[in-house]
Amino acid sequence: MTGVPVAVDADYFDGRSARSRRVRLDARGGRLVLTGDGFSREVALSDVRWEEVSRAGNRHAELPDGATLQSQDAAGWDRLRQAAGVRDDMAVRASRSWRATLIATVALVVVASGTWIYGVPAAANAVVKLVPASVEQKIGDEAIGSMVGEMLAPSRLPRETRDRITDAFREAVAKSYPQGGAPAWRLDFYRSRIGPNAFALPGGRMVMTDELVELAQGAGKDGDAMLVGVLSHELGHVRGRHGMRGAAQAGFASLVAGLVFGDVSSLVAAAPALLLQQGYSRDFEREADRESVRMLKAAGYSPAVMADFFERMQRRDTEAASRARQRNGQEATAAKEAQAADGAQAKGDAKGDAKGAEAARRDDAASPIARRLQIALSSHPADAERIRFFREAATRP
Amino acid sequence: MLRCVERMSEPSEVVTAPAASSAFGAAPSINPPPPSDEPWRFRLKFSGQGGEYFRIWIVNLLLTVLTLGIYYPWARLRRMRYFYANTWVEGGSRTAPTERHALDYLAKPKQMVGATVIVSLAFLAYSIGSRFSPILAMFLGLAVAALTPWVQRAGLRFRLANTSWRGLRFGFSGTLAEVYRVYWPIAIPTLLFAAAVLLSSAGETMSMGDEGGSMAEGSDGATGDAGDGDGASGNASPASRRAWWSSLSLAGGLMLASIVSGYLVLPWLWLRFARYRQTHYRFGSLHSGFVLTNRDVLRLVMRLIGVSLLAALVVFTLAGLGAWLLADSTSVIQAMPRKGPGKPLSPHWGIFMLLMLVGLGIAFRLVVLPYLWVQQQNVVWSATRSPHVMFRSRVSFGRMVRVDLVNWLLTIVTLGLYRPFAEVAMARLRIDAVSGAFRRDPAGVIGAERDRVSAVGDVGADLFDLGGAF
Repeated sequence: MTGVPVAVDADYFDGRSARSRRVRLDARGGRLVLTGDGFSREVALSDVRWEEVSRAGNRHAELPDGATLQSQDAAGWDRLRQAAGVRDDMAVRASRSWRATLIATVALVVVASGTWIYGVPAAANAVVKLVPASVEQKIGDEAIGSMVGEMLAPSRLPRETRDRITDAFREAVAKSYPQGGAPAWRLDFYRSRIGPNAFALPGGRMVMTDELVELAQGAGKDGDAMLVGVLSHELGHVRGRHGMRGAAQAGFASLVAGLVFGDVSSLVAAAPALLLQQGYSRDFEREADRESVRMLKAAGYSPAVMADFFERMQRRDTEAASRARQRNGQEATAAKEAQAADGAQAKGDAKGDAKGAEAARRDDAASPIARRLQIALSSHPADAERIRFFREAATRP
Repeated sequence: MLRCVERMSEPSEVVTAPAASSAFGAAPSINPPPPSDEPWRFRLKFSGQGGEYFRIWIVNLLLTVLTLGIYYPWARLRRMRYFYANTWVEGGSRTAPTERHALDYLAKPKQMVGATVIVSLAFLAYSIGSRFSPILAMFLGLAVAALTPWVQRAGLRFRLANTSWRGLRFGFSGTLAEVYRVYWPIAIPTLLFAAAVLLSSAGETMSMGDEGGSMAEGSDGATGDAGDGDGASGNASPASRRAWWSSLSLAGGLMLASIVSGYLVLPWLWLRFARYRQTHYRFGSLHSGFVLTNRDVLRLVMRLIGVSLLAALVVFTLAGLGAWLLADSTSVIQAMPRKGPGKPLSPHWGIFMLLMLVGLGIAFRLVVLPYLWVQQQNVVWSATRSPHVMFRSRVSFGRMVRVDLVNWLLTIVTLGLYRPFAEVAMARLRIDAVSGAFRRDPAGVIGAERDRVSAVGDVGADLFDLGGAF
């Protein structure tokens, strides 16, 4: 360990004054020996804290009493460090070699994609499990409170209609959960400014708009089956606690993106988090659709009614869009509405509907680029895909 | 650790008083001469390299991700140490030879771990909570706002106390009361806002009262459904109606005043905080000072507005030109089927608005913001002077725009992998621009007492992005 003396010149600071003292350092017999003009000091090598060395950076070591050593002689210092038997930790050694860092880069890409795809949802899930049901309920009530008045007005449907739908759904829930254990739910009807829509909030509160009921009733006897299907979909969200999980995922995602991209640009950091969020909510939608199929079958309805329902929605959208094409200059208000709907909904389920119509209206004025963006950012699986899903589900026993 | 302290007093180290004092006089060729009274000029020099820091960064990132964030405090320490160890202060005076010493970051991982846990939990609670309930979001926002001064001061204290140069730690002497006092001007827009809200709700109850009164008089068939302000005041006497209107318009005026004063107060707050920060740096018995005035800040704001307007004008011109060119080429495809004299302007306008929006965003991010950074650093540090020390900062705007543009583009193109190179390039640009002078040779400075400081503020300032950029 201490064969040849490896003396090196250094500056010694005693930690009490800013005055430097020239010393010569040597490692001998497990001790670091400092000798200067009229000064000498010895410290056990094991008590010296050697700072990590960078190419042009300061060569620096700390002694136990807060005194420090610094050297301008980089090569000499590195020799002394070696002679003193200093071993850097693994992380430091790794960042010294290009090969190790290349491996680290590849590993990082793999791990990061893994985190992106599995880690963030898993972490969000774990956090949401810690949130007590009462808190979740309060959050849902709060969210409803902020929407009533702004976007939702008291329902104008006849009491019997509402009760009939609620009863049909209650029966479907009872049949789907023969052993009990269905998530707690509560259904409210509102007249809305966001068109035909239904959504579930944390804590099991579900909202259905009058417009959606009216749209389904236009289908005649299948109408109630459609509504049960839609509500089952929402109950799927409630069961999976998708609202809370979505929020937690967004939190984690922005944390991770912030760590990776940092302050270079908030836009760069926000974009991946946003895209990620869209991907997650698509998964939520699929999960809710599966639950919808399961419940419809259990309650004795054909899942195909949901496919019919989506087609009705699509028809309505195209009609709305063509109507809108005639009257121009409403993009501004439409955009504002769509934004309000986007922002306030915790886990909104714009089923195609008003948002789509307004988007179409906006696209009319904007460019094809905007249209493509709209599709890329849509959080729902494409309508065609969902229609196929429900039709195929109907053919299976 | 205790063992080492004991060893300090062992006889092996022979620093007898007479020997030490004779050392300075006897061998000036070996030790630097005693501190002179000449001004000691210095400049900062950054020696970090992108490739080198990239390797530290990628290993840090991998370990942080692999350990689910547990490694973060260590990663942060390594990062800080790298930047500090590569920040050199080169200086000398007419009589003292040039010396060159780097900064050092002395925080210990132990200090950082607890702080990181606390702050991460707070951050998570904040980002989840604020997504759902507006009320909760408001309270969380208020809590963050109320804690911000505390975090800022704690961050500064921690950062400075763990920064050392020439073997001495810096310090930050600003008190908690002072930092909260810095922010009192916020009270102006807040009070105006509160007054506006109170007044408008008072106006509302006034009109409600009128409605009740007129109903009691039995005025013909007023149904209870009139929640509308207009309907209510329609039944009221002219005098109370006038009072209601005037109170409402007063509330509107107050609201407007609150918003305007909010913007006006911003530069003032900035100056107040900059002054608080820049006057409380300590190095031993030396302290910093700050000479920026309201007038200087006003001039800075004017310059900023000027640059913004200029950038907007350029974007406006380019967008107009682009819309004209693009619309002409696309109109062949788009306007073909419904080509008529009806609305020839619409594709032009659409493209123009789109170009304007994108252009303004880009101009703000790539021109106005860098201008603000440059001005902030130059103005603040060039005004940092006390009887003991003065600084000068000359970051070039042209170079800032170039460095920032390259950083921004390459960081996006490489999906973030360029980030360490970007950080190094920015550090070099900012640090190399700083010079200054001590009144006398800093070798004569004697260290002050160290105080214990918590790391929560430091990590908090980092994660919540509240840092007072040092």
